[in-house]
Amino acid sequence: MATPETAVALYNYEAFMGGESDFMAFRSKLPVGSPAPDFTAVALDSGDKVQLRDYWKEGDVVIEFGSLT
Amino acid sequence: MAKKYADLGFKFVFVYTREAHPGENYPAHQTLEQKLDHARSFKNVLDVQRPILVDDVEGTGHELYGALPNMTYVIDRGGKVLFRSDWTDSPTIEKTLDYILNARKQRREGLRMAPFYAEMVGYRWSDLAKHHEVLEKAGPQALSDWENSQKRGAQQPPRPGRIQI
Repeated sequence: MATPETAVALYNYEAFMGGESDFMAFRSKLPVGSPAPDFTAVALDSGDKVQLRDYWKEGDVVIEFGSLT
Repeated sequence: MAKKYADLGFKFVFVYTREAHPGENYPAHQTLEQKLDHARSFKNVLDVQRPILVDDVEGTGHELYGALPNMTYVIDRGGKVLFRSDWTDSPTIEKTLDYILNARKQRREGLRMAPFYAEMVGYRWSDLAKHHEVLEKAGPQALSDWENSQKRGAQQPPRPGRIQI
């Protein structure tokens, strides 16, 4: 089992090498028609914890994932 | 785009993930506070209007959706995946939303619209100048890591899952 510190370090790689992203695994992950998994995140503006499902409970939602870099 | 489709009932959110190209200015996150700081810079630097949701520092939410650096998902009311793409391209998303809206309109008008599974190859403009700008913002390390990965990539077969057409 990865300790919390190593889990953080494994996910947040320190240097881009070019092999971090598994584009093949993505294809079998959540095909269209499957239920979208819920997770908790922090809303940047309010600082509140929010659930993703609260967004799609009210209507359709377009979710983009990314970072500044 | 978000404004136009918001009027048509779509919400737009941005989930902030790990740094794809960590550099001296925006290194790999070690704490949530740092991730929130980077997300605030992202909002200010790019003048992002959509709500930004910051995933936890372990990337729990990001991993659930496939952990690619710039994916987009369209989720319907009720939580079903209507569309997903392994890169984000706004013209492609516009076309998709128009397609969804049109199918629903026809269904409302009484046409029998049967859903089916479909896939397509997406085409996006790979803006190298813009990519370079992002790497410069991240710092010299991000730039040299990228250049090295390109050199290695040129000597290797295409990575599985990347479309080559």
